[in-house]
Amino acid sequence: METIEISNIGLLFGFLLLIIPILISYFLDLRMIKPTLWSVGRMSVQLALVGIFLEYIFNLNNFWLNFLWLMIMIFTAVFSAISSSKIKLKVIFLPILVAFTIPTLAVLLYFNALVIRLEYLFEARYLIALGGMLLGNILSVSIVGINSFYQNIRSQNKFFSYRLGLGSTHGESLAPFLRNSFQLALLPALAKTATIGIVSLPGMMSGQIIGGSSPSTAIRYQIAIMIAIYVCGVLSVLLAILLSNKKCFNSYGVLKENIFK
Amino acid sequence: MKQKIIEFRNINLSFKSKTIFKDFNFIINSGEKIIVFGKSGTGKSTLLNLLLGFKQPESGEIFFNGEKITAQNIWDIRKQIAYVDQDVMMGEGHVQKIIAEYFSFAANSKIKFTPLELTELLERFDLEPVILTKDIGQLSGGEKQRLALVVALLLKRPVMVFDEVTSSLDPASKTIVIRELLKNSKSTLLIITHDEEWQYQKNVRIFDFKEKKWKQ
Repeated sequence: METIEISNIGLLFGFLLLIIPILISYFLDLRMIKPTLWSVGRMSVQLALVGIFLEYIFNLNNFWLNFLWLMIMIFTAVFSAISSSKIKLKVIFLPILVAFTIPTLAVLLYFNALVIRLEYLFEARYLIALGGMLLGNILSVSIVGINSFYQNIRSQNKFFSYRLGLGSTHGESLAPFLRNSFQLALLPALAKTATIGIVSLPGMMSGQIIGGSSPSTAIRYQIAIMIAIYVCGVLSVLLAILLSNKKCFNSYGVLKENIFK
Repeated sequence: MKQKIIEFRNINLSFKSKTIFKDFNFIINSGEKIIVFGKSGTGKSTLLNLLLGFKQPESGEIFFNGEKITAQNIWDIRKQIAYVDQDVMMGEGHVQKIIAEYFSFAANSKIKFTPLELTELLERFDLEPVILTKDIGQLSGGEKQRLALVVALLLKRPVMVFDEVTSSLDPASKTIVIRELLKNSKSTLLIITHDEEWQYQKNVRIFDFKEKKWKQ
């Protein structure tokens, strides 16, 4: 089964659908015409450029180029994460970089080698497409994890001091905060995972089915990638917190105030 | 022979350009019951924060049992001090589980107490043993405060420091708590308070925090 190409005329009809929100906005004076055109326009240009680029990369399928592109994706994710973090750049840059890179690479290679069983582990189509899915998730969970961890210790300073005062080790003093930020970061995604298949058909699965894969193949991919995304998320939250830890507490075990933006 | 257990030597510390300690010296001997008295907002709690290593002085030294407090030994020193803060926050959840967690700390796991000991202590502080089965969120401020004192006593530590632990209590519980805390003759007790009632107790030494002078 071949996927039917979307022709230029077809794509034009796709854009034509936008007349509906534009007219609604016009008559109800919602002032959403400009943002609509700007967002759709920006998306189209970005995707067109990436499309040309990916076609090029996929054809070459060169190890270094694939790897470089993956690293560019990781760096972009790191900077996006840091800009929405409440903690200073110099404190969390390195921890976040490691927390994004190591889990992505490790889980990706494991996935390609043992789950999909690719002969060439750095096959561009898999490396980049799957890497993007893992990174997208890491980006949201690790920021929730690290922000809530340090902010909760700050806002519940009395509780934190009480634990220290009662003779906790550094690890013991952090335990409830660690638990809390892991739960905040990962439980929403887990809850969503539990409804997949009934409430929602994930994008990747729909894409594969439209792309001509059998539902059975699409489902196997979906199950495996959901697990990979979850594992990757857990690892990245753990690394982000563990690696930033040393810079965020003084040697008396007290949270430093100057780490916040 | 009196033995020094806590000593603040030539401490200087200011906070937001307000001087809290200037060449401050303060000595407590083992077994003494000390009341540090002063109005709120004068920085009395800093005394505790310095002793427990939550803050460091700009200059000067603090000694515990003759040993200068450093980032290395503070972890062991904290294990010898039982501490309750004003508006203590012990965590969330089931009271019995919260207590169990503090006694699961490596430092406290060897401490044994019987359920009877616990309920007796609760009753001495005018708390119903049934609170053990409650969620801590259901307890009033005064109940939480007294629960934290019970935990502090169960820890059986040589030094106990309490910051404004009676200010949120009604007069009846206040009298009970003061009596119970002063009963323990072995421990060194450091009470930080603006509560007048502490001043009329026997066998205590009172330190005027504003004047930085011993009153009796």
